[in-house]
Amino acid sequence: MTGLALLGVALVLAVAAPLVAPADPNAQELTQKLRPPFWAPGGSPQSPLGTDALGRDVLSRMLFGLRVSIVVALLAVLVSGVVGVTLGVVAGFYGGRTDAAIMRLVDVQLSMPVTLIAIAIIAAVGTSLANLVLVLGLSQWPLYARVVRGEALALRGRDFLIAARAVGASSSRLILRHVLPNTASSIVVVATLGVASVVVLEAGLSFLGLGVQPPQPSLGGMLSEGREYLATAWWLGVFPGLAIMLLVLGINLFGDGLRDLLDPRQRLRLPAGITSGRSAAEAGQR
Amino acid sequence: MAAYLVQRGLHALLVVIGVSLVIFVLSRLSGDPVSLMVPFDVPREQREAIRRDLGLDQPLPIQYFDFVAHAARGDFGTSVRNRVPALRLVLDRVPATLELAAVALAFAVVVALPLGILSAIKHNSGWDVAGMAFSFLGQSVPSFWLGILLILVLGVNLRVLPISGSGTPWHLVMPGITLGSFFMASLARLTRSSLLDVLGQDYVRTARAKGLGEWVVVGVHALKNAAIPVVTALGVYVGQLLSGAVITEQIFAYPGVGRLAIDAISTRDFPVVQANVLFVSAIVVVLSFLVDLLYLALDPRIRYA
Repeated sequence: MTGLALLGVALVLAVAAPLVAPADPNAQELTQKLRPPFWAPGGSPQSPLGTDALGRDVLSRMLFGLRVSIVVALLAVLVSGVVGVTLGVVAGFYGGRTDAAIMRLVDVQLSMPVTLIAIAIIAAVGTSLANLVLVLGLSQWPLYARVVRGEALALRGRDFLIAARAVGASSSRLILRHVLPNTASSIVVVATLGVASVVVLEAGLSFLGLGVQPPQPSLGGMLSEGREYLATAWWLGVFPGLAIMLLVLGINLFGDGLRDLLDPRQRLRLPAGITSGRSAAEAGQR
Repeated sequence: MAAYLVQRGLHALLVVIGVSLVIFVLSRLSGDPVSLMVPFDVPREQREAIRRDLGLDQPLPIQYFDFVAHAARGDFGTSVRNRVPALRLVLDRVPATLELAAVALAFAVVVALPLGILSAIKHNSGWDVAGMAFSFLGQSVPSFWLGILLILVLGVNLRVLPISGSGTPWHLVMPGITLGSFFMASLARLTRSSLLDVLGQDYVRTARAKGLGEWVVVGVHALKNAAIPVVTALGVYVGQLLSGAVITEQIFAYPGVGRLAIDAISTRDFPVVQANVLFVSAIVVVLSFLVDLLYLALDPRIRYA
């Protein structure tokens, strides 16, 4: 419930950012620069969480930054979901060599230092929101492929699939009408937890200056600006990070709850923190 | 066992080939290398001559093999900015990053194992709930924010630790905690859940039934088996630690490979970026291969398969 509440608040604030933000996130007011939050001496209720070095309102920038974070994360999860689910269902449904080839690809990507490669890719192709979404999305697809492939593999011998095939359903119909709907709950759980890891990745890239580009506000970018002023303006380094943490915490709690709801037997043994890869059993098989 | 080793070796090779392909494609995506090297007013004929010298007029597959052949000999070209071999710049920074990763890993393991074991043994107790809440929180705190908070509290307010640079062991404390926190949290959860799994097994019940003390049951029978998934995770973490070090090094201005990569990117020094990514990937591959060897010691099913 805590997760749902946190997530709900975050979504509402992100959608309503233009309505609830006390100021234009990019409006500079140099006479008002580096104001502390309203409760500290020198603070004013006009900028409740203070202002940054250019006199921009921190709360407003955070609200718009939250918006960007959520939009980028959802789009990236969509990209990785589409790629991962497609490859996973094909691998699990057809088995054999197709399966071996796709799973080898998954293993290879899981063994790469993905953050570093994402950084190199962004550096080469340039920073734009579209590139950011693509790189984040393509870095996460193996998670979906693994889970969906496992589910599809388990469905292969089930009677209803054999029956459907017997009455002449084509492979594509079998996949779309029978296999995919049965993997949907797993996909929803993985995607939910995936949003959390993408939010952190995006904030990290923006922190490094390779994600969302200034002056567009982003939580990661605000933190990297805030790092410069830690000795004089603590609020610049504290609030954006707190927002990321609450968002991620909300998604993780919600995702865990969703898993308990949709997968009570815990078949879906998601690796700790979703980012780690192989399970012991699989490693043992190889 | 030999088959297992050969298979893991082949896998490692595939990963390196994959990374090299990505990097090669990237180097061609990032624009004409010649235009990065010469001023814009160099005449066309001269540009063509440079292209021929560099082999850029060859078909792409041949260029790729050329790239691999050079890379295998450690030749990634010369740093555009510093005029020294790109690989040497990277090699100079490797010890610092390995040191940082080792501290982070040590921190994660030293905190996580006792926490996870305690939570599993005292399942559903106050210890368990507190420990798991702590690690759940730990997984949700972005490392760079934790780093900033540490700087704020320990560096700026209390002034007990240096906030940037390297040199003394004190310089490693905050970056180590920052980099290790996420892995600490995941490792604690994983240790707990895998020990809980094992404690429910028949052989543990047998061990208890024959009157062994709780210490022997957990310490000898359970922990060894619970270690297998934990070691798997460690293999994956090592790679993530090295690549996650980029952000940590940036926060603390720590002179490792990650900071070198970011500096090289901001000055468009692509040979250094390529050498960096490929070399770090190679380290990751070697380390996870070593972790795979650990299985042989832990899991007899692989040894005799």
